[in-house]
Amino acid sequence: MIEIVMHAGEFYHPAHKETGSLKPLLPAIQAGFESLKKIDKGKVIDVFQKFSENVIKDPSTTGIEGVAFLSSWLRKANMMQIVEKNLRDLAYLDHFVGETKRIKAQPRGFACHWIAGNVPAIGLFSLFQSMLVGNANILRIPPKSHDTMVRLLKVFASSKIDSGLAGADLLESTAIIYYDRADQKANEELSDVADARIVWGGEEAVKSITGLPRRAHCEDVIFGPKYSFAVLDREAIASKNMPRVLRFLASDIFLFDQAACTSPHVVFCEKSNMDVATIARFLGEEMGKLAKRFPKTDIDQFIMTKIINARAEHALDPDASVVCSPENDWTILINKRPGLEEPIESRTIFLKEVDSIMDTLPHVTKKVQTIGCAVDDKAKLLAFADEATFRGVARCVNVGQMHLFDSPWDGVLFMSRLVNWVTVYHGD
Amino acid sequence: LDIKQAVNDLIAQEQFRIPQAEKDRVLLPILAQQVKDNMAFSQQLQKFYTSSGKDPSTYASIADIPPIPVSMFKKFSLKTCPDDQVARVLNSSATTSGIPSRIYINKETSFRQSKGLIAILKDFVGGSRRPVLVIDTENVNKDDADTLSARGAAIRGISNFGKKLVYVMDEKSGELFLNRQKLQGFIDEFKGQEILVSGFTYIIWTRFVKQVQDAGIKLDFPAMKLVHSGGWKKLAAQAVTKDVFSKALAGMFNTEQRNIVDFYGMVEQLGVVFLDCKAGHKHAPDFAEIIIRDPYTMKEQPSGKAGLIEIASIIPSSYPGQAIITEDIGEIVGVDDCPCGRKGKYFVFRSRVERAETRGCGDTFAERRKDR
Repeated sequence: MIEIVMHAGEFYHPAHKETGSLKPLLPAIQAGFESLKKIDKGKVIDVFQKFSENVIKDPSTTGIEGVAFLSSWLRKANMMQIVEKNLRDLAYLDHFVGETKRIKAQPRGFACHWIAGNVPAIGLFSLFQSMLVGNANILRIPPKSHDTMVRLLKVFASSKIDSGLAGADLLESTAIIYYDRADQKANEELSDVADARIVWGGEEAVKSITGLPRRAHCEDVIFGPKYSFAVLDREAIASKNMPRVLRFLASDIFLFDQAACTSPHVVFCEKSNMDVATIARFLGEEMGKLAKRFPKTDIDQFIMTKIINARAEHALDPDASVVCSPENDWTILINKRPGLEEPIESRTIFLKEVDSIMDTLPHVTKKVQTIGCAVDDKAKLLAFADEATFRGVARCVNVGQMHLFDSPWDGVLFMSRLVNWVTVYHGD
Repeated sequence: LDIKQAVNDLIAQEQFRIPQAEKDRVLLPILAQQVKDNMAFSQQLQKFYTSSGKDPSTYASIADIPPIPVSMFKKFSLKTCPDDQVARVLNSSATTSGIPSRIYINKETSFRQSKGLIAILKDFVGGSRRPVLVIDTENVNKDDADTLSARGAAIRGISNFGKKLVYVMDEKSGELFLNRQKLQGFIDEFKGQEILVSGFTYIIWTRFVKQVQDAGIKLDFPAMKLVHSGGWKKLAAQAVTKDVFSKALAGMFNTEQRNIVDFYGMVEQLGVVFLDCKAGHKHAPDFAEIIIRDPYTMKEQPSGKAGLIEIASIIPSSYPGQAIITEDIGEIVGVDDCPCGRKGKYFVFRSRVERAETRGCGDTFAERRKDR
């Protein structure tokens, strides 16, 4: 059974409408898709800008994790930058550009998104980029994110620009649905209608979706599964900015309960005038402050057990130590084991001392997505980033910016993958 | 306080008689002293108890003792007696993680484990020795084996009450098959008599029941007690509840449902088992304690609130088993007032802690070669 959360601009939440098949949903989305073709894409960006202003003011959406970033990401200037990176010029979306040989970026058609449950707003990053290039969109979103998505999209629907165009008009080409992950029939049906499949999620989810039958022309864009970590060089540790670095690092650890592909799990610190125990103590103070501001709400027993075990292991190991809150809230695990560590999540970070951040490079694989860098030696940063990205890392960013959704993402210029580049010869 | 004498007295006496308030008063000084002894013996344990909790002299309750997670016995060689006093190292079966626990047993601990187990079982099944039908293979409990599974430990405990043990399953290529001749021989010899039956719940349900039914063998043992444990996760997946299991087995043996007794225990805490009473509750014996902890705050949960099961015991003197926290979920039902008359806390087991659905795109760092 497929639950309908939103269809062609109509919201059915929390009492979801149900359907046994996707088929009845498609004609309205198709009609919305054709209407979207007629809308000037500059106007679409104007609606995004309006939503960007509304979403941080609206009482129904304040407090949603990541909403401030979503707002800044949707600003016209940022959107234009993303378009330029991906398509060179917005004009390609509206008409053929060029002289004799003219080129246009046509939408691929139906973009079907499988969204992970860890970052509720990720569905919107995926949707808005696909919508801007003119695709119809069907998003399968886990129940945990429904409430957040609906609150955000209702504000989007009511965001109207002077021309009269509103988010509600753009949502006519969109559906948000949910079905159990074991529902093979629904999964196959969604895959079957897709001209582009966009998958955000862990290994299991990605495998189960990419293994589904698809149309020959269908474009697959896969995000995940990934792992991230952070490095601090001795200059950064010694600098007066270190307290700010630790504050930003704590924020990167706390956001999305460390379940995102961009979440750091290990911090490598170059040997410096400050030992790791001291760094841990200062980081612990920052994590303690954040824990007070953002009490842990999602208590996962399995993860709590992992935290209990990791704390005990480090307390029993003569070469390791633990700095942590009394309850299983935040945890800093210091050890001398070389390399990365299996993620524990939920505000649990491993801290390790290295002679040089370059020593971490042998541990970098294509699984590593983001490295948060507090590296004051800029020559070292470039050399490190060049080696790390050569090994597969997609992003080397400042600590504190690990979760900032950007383009390219995961090595992909997302919008460019969601269009068909078409040509017309307009000459003799 | 003569700790050793106090421990031996508590284990030897009739169980489930001490009201909770008195039990706290009796157990806490013993456990605190044992923790101090552990710290004095091992720097590793000194580091653990110091970094995880407060000075044992200041413990106000048993819940103040920092519990050692059960999985630590897989990662570390945790012992509290000199090597030359270790009489046996038990390696638990490693069904979930693939890594066995190593439990160091000296003579004193071994003696106390046997005494403790007997004292508990006596209270539930009576003290008389009787024939025991073991629904398992003899391989699971070889005398010379240094590996003791939960299955083997349960059988070993029950065997204290056996005047004759008959194993009715044979193992062939890793699969268990009913040995009809042995079962029929047991029926012929002891039909209608008071007997004990022991086995692993999952094996009883998936192997024994079906094969006995297929063979058309009739069991008639109204005065029997079946003591079983383990494998509930797999049974739950087949929609087999404790009630469904008990009814079916009672029908099969022609006995009352109350004679089908589920118990909870673990190799890391041998000597302490928690059997269901007639009210369906599990009781902590007078020499051990059950604590249910909130998995987030780690504080003791009040009655009716589920949490992680921790078992405190005064039995071990060769490994730090004074407080072991498990990865099981349970709930205290009440204290001192169970309809069965036993004193102290009583609880129910709920489930193993389960891995939740993958939460997102965050992942392991390990590369899986097949994917490359």
